[in-house]
Amino acid sequence: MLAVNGNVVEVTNICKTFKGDLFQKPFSALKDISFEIEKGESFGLIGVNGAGKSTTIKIILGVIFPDSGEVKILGDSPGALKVKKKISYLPENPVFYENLNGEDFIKFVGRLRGLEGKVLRDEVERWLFKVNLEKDGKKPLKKYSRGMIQRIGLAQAFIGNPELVILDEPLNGLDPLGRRMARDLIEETLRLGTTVFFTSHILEDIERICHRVAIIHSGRILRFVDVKDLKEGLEEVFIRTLEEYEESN
Amino acid sequence: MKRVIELARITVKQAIKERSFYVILIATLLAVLAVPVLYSFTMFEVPRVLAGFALSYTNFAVLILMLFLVMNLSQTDLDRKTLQYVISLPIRRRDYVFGRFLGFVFFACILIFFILAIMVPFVALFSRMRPDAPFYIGYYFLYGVFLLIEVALLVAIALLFLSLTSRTIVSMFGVAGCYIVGHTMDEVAEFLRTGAGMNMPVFSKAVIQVVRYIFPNLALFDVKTAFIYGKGMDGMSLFLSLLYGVLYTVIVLLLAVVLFEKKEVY
Amino acid sequence: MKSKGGRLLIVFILVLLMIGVNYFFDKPQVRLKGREEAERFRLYANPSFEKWSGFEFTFLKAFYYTLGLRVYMGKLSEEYLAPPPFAKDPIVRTAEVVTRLCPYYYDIYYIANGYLTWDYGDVETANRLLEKGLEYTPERWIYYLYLGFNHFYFLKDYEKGAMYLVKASEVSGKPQYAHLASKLLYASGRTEVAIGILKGMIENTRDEGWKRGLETRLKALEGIYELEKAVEVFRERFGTLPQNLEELKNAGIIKGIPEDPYGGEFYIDEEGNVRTTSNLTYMD
Repeated sequence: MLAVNGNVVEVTNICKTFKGDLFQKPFSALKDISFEIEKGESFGLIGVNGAGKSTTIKIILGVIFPDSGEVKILGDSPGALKVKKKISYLPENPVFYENLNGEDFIKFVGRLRGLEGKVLRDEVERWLFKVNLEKDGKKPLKKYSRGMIQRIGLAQAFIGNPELVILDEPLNGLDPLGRRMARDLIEETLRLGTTVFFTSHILEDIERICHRVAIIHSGRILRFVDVKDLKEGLEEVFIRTLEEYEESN
Repeated sequence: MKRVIELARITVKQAIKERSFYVILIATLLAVLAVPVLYSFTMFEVPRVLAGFALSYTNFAVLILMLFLVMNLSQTDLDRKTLQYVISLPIRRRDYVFGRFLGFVFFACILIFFILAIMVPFVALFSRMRPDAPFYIGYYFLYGVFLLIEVALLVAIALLFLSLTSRTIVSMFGVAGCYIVGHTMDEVAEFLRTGAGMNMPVFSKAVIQVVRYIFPNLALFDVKTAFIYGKGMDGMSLFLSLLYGVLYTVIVLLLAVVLFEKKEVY
Repeated sequence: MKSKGGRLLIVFILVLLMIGVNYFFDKPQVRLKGREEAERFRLYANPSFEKWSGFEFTFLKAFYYTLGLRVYMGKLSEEYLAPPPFAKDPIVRTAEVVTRLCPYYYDIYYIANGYLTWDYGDVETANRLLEKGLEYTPERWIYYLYLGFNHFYFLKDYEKGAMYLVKASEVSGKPQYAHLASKLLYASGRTEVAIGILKGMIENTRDEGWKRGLETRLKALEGIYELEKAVEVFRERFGTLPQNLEELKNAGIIKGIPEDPYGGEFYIDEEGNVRTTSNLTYMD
């Protein structure tokens, strides 16, 4: 179910300040952020560390709540059950429950997404295969390498065909083959009409996969970039945008 | 409801695959070796001494393992931020609390059952060899029920703390504190009523009263002495103790859910 | 999505419910009678086991067990007017375990000594405990005071009693106990000595409940002392012992007969000693 104008994600004037505890001053993470993502779009959020990427994602997921402004995911508030049924999330440097084995974990996610019985078993097998973990399904996650964890993370993000996939630095920790596989998976899911929202440091990957990009810095979106229309490299645009910002402040 | 079951199931799976579960079972097998030793050293009232040992051991082993499991969960969920991921899954926040609770309580059931299943045959065997005091096998399992209630209550309290803080150490101290207060409360209240306690400053007495009304009275579930001596127990008081446990647990769980709904999970 | 105010209300209601449940279930459910609970003390493992299983917490255990004993004796005092016979075993067991756990811990000594001497007549065990306490804390002169009292008052061993009193003076630096010791060695004045020692004990007791017990005894002894003095005056004046205490009043030596705080009556026996029907314990 989409918003009236076909937007999967609508973020309007979001502000978020983290109250300091005893040892830290309050920190203004997001200062008036607004953007939209259309259905089937591949949208990237790029910025330096601490710019506000993860905070934005957490607000979209309903994990934390904005101080002001409005967020609508698939026409509803984030954190609503019917929204969560249609979205998936892969955190940055994910940590999953290490006692479980790969298969149990994927099954768990699959069941929550509504898959059952034979369909569930088939999907679990299919996705373990697609991320090259078909031989490691029975191993506990604590025995997985960094790359394997990342791959199982991708599997859980795609199983059940969610409408919106949110990936925070998804290519982290993958070797070149792994990165290729991840890119292929993302492109495949885009072809199926899924909306993808992802963040990355690696502008090369963003350039390859995203249709549109927002540059975020110090809690503000400085610029939107249409990747297709880009005449120069994304990196140049990025650096230039940051420099312009630094100068005017 | 389905989601609650899913979370409960995954909780039990995680717990069973914890190595410590097997360590405790092995420790129980070793502890069983202590039974014949105790038997030969005891002068009189063999069944009572053995019962004392078996019940105390069960109490200790179960509490230690459950504390460890909850701490582990807290470390993954809070410290390593897995909780952020889990609540982005298609579950309601309350499903998480209820699911975890159910999972832990179910696992505690299994644990208590296994430990008693290993211990009780041995204890029964040696008790029968010199039954100079009466004993009833049924009491062991009835004790299991009371221990389960106490564990359920402590798990609910742990979940309440998880909903309140983002640091494991705070939750652990919180649960430990509730445990200590819960067990000493009865004694302190008695102390106040009689003897020297009567001359304490009013302020201290007021503080103790407040504490008494907020913290759970865990001593109600420590029926070991009553069971061992077969005294001081009647259906009504046992039923009331269980009822108290259930009511209190439900309230704490609801509190945890309400607080968790709007918790910012950093 | 509930409003913040709504949630606060729900939290408040839940906390009230919690307090309500605690209040409603206030009475401890599984309660043993005093006699039954005495058996619980038999579950104490032997003192050595208690000590090594206490690791770093032996003092805590000592404190906790002593507290347990006090609470238990307090409960008994509600059911029984005087400590009942079955309570002796718990007292002795606790004393043995606690003094093994932490022989420096004072409270158990005066508690155990108090009950064992006055209520159970087992002065030997009490003295043994006190001697042990002295081994570890020889500077605690109050133990000498107790030992002195026990020997002279209960065991009627006036020489040893005097010796302990002198030691008490030495260690404490308070001369009054040595003075009392010298009085002891005379046939008369023993009640005065007892009064003097009791006053010393009262001064050095922190526990209010305990103090009150000692003060009651003091009051009784002071009554006896007053009567003894009056008997002496009577004897000097009339050359014989009075038949009963009324004669003292009639002779104008005392205005009235003092009351025995234990509920008994003072009387004079054939040898002219002032006694009381209560024998200095509460009468049933």
